[in-house]
Amino acid sequence: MMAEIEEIVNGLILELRRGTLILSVLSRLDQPKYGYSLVQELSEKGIEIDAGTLYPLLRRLEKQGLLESSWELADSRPRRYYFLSETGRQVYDRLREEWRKLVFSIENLMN
Amino acid sequence: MELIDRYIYAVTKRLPLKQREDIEKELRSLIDDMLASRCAGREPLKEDVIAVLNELGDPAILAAKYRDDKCYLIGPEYFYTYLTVMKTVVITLAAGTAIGHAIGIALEPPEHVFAGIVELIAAVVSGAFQGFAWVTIAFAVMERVNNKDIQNVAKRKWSVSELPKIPKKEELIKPSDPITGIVFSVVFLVVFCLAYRYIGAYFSDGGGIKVIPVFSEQFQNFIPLIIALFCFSVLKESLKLIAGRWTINLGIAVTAINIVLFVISIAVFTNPNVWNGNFVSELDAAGMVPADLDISLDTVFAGLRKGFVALLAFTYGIDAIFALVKGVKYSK
Repeated sequence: MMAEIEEIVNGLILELRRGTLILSVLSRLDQPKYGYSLVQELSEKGIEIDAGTLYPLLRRLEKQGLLESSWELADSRPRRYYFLSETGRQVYDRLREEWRKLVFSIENLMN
Repeated sequence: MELIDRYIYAVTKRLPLKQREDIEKELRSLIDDMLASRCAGREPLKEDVIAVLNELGDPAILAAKYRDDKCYLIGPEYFYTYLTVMKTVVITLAAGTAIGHAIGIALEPPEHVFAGIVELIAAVVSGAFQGFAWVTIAFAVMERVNNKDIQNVAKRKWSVSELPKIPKKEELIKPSDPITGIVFSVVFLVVFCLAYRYIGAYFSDGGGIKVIPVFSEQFQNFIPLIIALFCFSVLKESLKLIAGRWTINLGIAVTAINIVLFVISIAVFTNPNVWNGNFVSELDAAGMVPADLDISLDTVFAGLRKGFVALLAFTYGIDAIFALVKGVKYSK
């Protein structure tokens, strides 16, 4: 039974986190960053995301017009740097507001 | 770093061509970064590469994350209709081809019976595959055309007034009707493609049964048009199956397809090259024309040909009017 509960909880945590990934990514990209540096930065701040999830996500956000990207040479290696577009900045501001409201409401519910 | 190349290949081969190069470059730079971070200055070993690739996980799953467009030919919206139409077409086509060939063998026994049977089986298999291919192509096109509608619908606001009425029994199209239609189209296709030589007047000259065909040998040049007729007919019946009930749109579609069918039919059956010009003289030569007949058989034959076209026009017309009237009636 313990193992089952563990499994259910893990699944639900994964679902909770999935919804916050985009917010996490957008919050870090006011400066251009390449994918793997973003993985490490988020991990240091306690948000674990594997590269295999982040890279496709970055592309999708770029396709939606929230991010822009350019290939640059750094340490003699070509890397794609992603950064917020103007739309992305506006979207991020709105999302951040929503997130704060959500945290407040949920906290209210749980107290 | 052969492993890296193999990994990247395993991912990109599952992606659309135009994205491959870009994603390959991106993955390569990602793997380099992961290796550099893992090895902190030293040369990466094979074990490091293995560990990094394991971390990235199954290439199929990674590729799936990169793909956001749909990767199916026929989606859930049409899948069951597709199965129904496909089964009907393939089964009747196979059966029809078999019967058509069997009649051919019976009328003109081949020198080697075994070779004849092999030919029959080959024809049945190829007929079934043709049917399968055409139905699949038609539905794949429908899927792509209609998918835009579904996306547009998803974007606009839905309102309760859009809820469809629960159709009354007489508004519904029983699936058996279009399926019967498809079976007839297949029979038509098989008869006109395989057995057009055997449509005609039969007589026995003592040595066996002979046939004077109504159609000329040039009829086979018109087979692509016959196949077009078949495809449009199956399309029409499939639309009825998908709609499931009479609507104005269905009525309009049926009318439009019937106009196309009629135009193609006219092109085929009013062309003098299609008909056997010597039909009457061959009949005469076979002694099938009574000597005391006082009307010109040529006139009768020409009249029959016109009658055939008129019959087609009548059938298509009735079908279209029927669909339109029902559509208007039940759309209110």
